[in-house]
Amino acid sequence: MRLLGAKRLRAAGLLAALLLVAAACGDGDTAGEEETPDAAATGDAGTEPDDATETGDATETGDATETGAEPAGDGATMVFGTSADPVVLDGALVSDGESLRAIDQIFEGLVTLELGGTEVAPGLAESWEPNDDGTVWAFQLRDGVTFHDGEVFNAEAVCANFDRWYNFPEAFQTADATYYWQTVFGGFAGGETESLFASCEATEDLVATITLTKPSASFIPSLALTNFTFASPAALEEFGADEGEIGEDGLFRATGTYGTEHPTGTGPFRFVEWTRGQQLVMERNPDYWGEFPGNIQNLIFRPIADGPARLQALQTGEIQGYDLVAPEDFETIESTEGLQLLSRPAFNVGYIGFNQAIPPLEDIEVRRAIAHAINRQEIVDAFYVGQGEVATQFMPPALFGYAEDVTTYDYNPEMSQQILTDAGYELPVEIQFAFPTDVSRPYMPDPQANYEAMVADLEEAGFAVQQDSAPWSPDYLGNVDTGQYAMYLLGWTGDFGDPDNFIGTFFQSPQPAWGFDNPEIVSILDEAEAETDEDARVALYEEANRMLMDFLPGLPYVHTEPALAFTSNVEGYQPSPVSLEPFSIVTVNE
Amino acid sequence: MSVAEAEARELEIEHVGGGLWRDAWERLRHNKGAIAGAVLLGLFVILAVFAPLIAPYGPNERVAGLAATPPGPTAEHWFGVDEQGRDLLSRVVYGSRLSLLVGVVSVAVGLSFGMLLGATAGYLGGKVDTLIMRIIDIVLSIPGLLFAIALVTLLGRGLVQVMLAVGITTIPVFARLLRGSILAVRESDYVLAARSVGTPGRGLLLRHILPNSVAPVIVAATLAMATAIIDVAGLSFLGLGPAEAGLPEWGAILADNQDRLQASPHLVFFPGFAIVLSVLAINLIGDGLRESIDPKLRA
Repeated sequence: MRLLGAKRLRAAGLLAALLLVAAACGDGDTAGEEETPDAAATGDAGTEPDDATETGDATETGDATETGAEPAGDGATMVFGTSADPVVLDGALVSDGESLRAIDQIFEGLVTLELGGTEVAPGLAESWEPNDDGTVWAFQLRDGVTFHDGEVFNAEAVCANFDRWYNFPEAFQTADATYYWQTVFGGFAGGETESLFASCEATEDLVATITLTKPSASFIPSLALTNFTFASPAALEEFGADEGEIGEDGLFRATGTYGTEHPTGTGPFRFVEWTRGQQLVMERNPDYWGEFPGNIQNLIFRPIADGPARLQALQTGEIQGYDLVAPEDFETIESTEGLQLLSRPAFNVGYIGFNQAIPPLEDIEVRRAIAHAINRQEIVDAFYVGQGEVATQFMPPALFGYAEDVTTYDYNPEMSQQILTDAGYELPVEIQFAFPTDVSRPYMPDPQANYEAMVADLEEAGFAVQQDSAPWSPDYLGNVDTGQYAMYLLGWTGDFGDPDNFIGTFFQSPQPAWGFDNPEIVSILDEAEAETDEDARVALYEEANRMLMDFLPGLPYVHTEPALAFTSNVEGYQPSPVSLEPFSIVTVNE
Repeated sequence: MSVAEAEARELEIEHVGGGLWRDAWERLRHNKGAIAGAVLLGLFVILAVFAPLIAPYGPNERVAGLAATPPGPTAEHWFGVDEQGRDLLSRVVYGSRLSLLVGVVSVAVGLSFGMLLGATAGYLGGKVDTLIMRIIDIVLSIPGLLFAIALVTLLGRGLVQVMLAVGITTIPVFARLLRGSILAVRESDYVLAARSVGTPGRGLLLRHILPNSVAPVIVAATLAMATAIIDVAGLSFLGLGPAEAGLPEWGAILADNQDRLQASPHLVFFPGFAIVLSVLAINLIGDGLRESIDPKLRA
């Protein structure tokens, strides 16, 4: 769908230009871009891969026997089907799911998350200690870790990476290139935006001391992001990691070969080769410092853009696994001998956004009537096929700060009509409602199916819906962000285990998409973010969730468990809520 | 030639000359393909006109629960139900209204503007002819569906816009056809005769030239209706159809369900089959018409 859409619009743009019809050019020119605002969600970003061809597998296995001195290694090869190529293999410069998936295998950060969870666990740092006011953090690094190029990992390497991120040239200081640095740390050296990061110092060979400009409760969890993993400073230098330019479309393009040919980290796999549109090949790092319980010698990521084609590739054995299985394929996979379905813990939310700047949504009674009008249970049961649960608030139950006792809104169309007539409205009440086309997200595998069911529900409850739709990127996201839609379908996938990453992102500052300014909500979220006492913080976020569901800025309707499919000889894969999923623990049986 | 022979000949001429349409009808009546097409098309017209009586349910009526992989045909729902729990048979029946409407309106748009341009160019000739025909040549050089996509991008989404866009793409076809036909007729003896007895220009064009040059255009119009149905379905499939979600347009139903092809093939099969049948019907009629009234094919 998405690709068709992009192609079609490009064709239209070309043609319109041919006809010298200026009006159509806008559409055509921008249609090729991919979204980044919500790039936290895993999935489709990037280029259109050609059909993957069979190459290299045999030769790779040949290499395996050469280096194969590992205890567990019998040289298994795993081919994983991805939805797109990575953009570039440099964690500091990406925000799309497919890049992060590959970078996770090659690179590591100071901290990581426990397998399959969101609790912070030691990574390249064994331990860390703040000073009294939480602004200076000393990280004790692991001894005996080396980069894939043989360089030693130490405090200087850590600070070299932090200094690189903080001092990025202006070309990199766009949301497309350094989205996560800006989200977590704010600004850059000498920039106008204040930065959370002040300095990094190698106080001892294995002690890196990071100074912040103010205390932040989400600093440590955010360090688990793949974007803050460490690259060999020597390789960064040698292969021109920071060379690049901004293209005409405003996207950053690296010109050095670091991110495409020489990504060098400390992770369990090391880079071998990458042929765009065909495959990214990695091999087991024989000098890995940590445990490597799996048996994969060669790990290959093969881009297959089309969802049904990925399923077919799995069925024919061309690949051994893929991500984001469509709900309508669950039954096929579960009933097929030799295939298995795994699901990721729910760490996202799908919601209907209300823009209170557009009447009649500024009226809480109308928002309540909408909440009672929509049969969320039926939609979730039908379209998420056992992988979804109805949302009662804007963050998933697995996260701390989730409140059990928020106000809930049961499906009751008669009550909706009653609320509307009591509030003095004449039925039907007109509302505008939009949905995105050409897109499938973990929380919204088939937006149109959700939308049509909701429209039918709304009309039954006394609303007259003015329908609207637009292609996901850039039109739909742009229209939402600039407050063009009254009601819209949207959602969010969490990046790290902190409520700030959900309700903080949505409501901590007033946004045109929501069209309201509620100082009480802003202040409780500010307070919660700065609070360093865990219990007090949990209580604040719970209170914020209760306030939000009374105020009803939107209607959360689903948390999903996105599904992955594997052949049944694949064992040990551990789905993670934030998609931090190492292949080093995976075993492929013959 | 004997007197009898001459009389017979005269009768034959009278017969042919006086009854072009009656003659065409005679030929058409004996064309089995055309009759089959007409019967099929008739069925679709009946479906379209009496949709509320024929369809067991409303096009947007929920008769079953929502489901990501809706069940296929059953005794109760002959074509199965879709993911919104709507009866697919009813949607396909109501869809015939949209598809036929789209076919007729698009062709009407193309035909009216095309004939106007073609007649102007053919009758006036000279610079006007050159100007109109060069513009038409340029437009004809762009593939029809691509041109329609560009037009929809310009006009915005919606049923009316789609019909307009598809109609506009057929204008040059009709214009060129009519112009060629008029050029041939304009120089014929009976036109010269009419001119010589002082028939004014407008009468000449309307009464003598047009009726004698319109036959190939009618054939083309019939065939264009089939193309229009396919083009509109194609636009819907590409996501450029009517903006309203859940409209029972055949192409839109196809597009909405393409990802369910493996799990629920009936959602794609039945609307696809309806498109094929309706287009086949119209093409059969068009071919039959061509054989019976195209001067070149007449014995």
